[in-house]
Amino acid sequence: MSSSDILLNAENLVFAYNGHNVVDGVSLSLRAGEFTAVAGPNGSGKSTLLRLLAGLLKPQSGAVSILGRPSENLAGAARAGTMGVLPSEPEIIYRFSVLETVLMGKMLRASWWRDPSAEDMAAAEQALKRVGMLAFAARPLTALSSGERQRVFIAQALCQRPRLLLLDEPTSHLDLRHSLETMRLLKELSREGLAVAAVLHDLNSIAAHCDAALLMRSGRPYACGPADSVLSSENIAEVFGVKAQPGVDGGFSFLLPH
Amino acid sequence: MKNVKFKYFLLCAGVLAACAAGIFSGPTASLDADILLRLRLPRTALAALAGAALGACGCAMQGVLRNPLADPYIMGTSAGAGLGAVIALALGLANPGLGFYLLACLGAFGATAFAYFMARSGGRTSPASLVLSGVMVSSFCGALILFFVLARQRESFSALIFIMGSVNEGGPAQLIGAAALLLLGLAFIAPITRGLDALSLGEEKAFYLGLEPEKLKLRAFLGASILACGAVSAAGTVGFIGLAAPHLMRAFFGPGNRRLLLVSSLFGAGALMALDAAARTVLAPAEVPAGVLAALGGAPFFLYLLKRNRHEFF
Repeated sequence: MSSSDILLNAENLVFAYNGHNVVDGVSLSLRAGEFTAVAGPNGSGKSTLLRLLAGLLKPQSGAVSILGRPSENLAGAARAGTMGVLPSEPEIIYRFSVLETVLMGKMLRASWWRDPSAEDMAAAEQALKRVGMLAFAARPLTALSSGERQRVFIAQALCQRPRLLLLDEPTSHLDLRHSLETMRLLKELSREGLAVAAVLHDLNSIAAHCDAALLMRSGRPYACGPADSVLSSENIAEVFGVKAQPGVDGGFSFLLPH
Repeated sequence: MKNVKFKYFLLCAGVLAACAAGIFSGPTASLDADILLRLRLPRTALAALAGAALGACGCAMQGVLRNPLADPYIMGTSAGAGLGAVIALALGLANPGLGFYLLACLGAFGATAFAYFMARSGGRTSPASLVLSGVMVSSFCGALILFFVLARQRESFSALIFIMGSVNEGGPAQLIGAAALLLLGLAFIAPITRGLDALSLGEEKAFYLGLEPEKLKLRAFLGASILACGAVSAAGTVGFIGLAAPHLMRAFFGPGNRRLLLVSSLFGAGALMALDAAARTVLAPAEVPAGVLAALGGAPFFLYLLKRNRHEFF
């Protein structure tokens, strides 16, 4: 990978809340075509890091640059057109349909009097097709399972035509099958050229799908690099305080905590 | 699409029926052209403008507060506008008039913003605390209005109207003022209707979709305050139309705020024209303030929504 593939670069980020450093000196690069996992115990600052990368929070020191430009110069429409971000739990109050929700990713910058054009509709339908949810287009979001909603929000983000996709715990509310499908989809999207980064908990799933991983402990980066070397049983013992037995079965390597 | 056209047709037919009721019903059965033209027509038109402002205001508030139980009456917006209006009268500013409108808008914005910030904690606003805080601000403003009225007995009756809610029998100046405020308020809200849609997914998600939630909220509150000022200066604090209009219309036309703003305005116009007609007839020759009738129907409606929708989506 050359440095030109780096879409987002974070240097030495520090974010303190109530006098306590929640994120403390994290540096990270997200590359086109790579799926990066952010892992670590609860309260280790993973979600805060994601919000710093997404520009929602401003770091007290350090800087995030996106496509080589300081991220604070990237506002509103330009920011949304560069990265799509999924918070951990979407809030749903009104009965918007799946299609209406996905169109929000496309229409937010359109004049208010303009109805979605045929092209806008085609883009939304294509995004829904990409995540396998086209058949649900007319359903209200409220009638979907969490796994299905997740896919709709990924489609919404794809409608923004982003270069980066950031997700906070995309699999935490999903059962085994939906979780696996989401991980596969994210990996495929990264292979199509997106830089994908997600806060994830399942270490085996990270090892199976992610290219790179950042392991955090108390806001500090503990290890960063290729996913399989970061998730060594030594690192896991040190960060989670759990012994994990590495094993190989049928070509799949796995970790068995015990 | 055909289905939607039919719903539009029904809505417009209802509004026209309310308009006819407004013009032709009254304490006397006589159809004197002079009364119809010089009294009923302007009064019905004023009811339509104030009602439309209430419907639009309710739509904006339910959108920006992300709360389907919000409305200008419950949130203290109307009471704030009423307080501003009474202060303006006490200062000798006439209704309609620029200074009067300015103070009413200021009162509406101040009350709403105050209720909102009191209900907010840790970046979140729970629907229950929002309603509670709004009701407190509302009753405080109501008490201040009464205090002003009692302290200065001269304009007591016209000031009481701001509490009870009743459509004025205003001249052309009042009509022009109400129309201008309605249009100005809509001009604030209409361009951010898509933003309000996105905001329903949460402020964080709205930010990621490219919005600036703080600017959006400020603009929505300003627009809602202008609309509340338009409604209150024309008809006092009439409750529940702002709650019911977007709520019922959402069930028929869906939650998209672009359409909802329009149909809520139409529904609000029809509702206040019908209420005003009823206000003049139910206890004729005496007139019941329209706000009293609105509360008689609206408060049970609010309780019903509270009970029914506790765990549902809207």
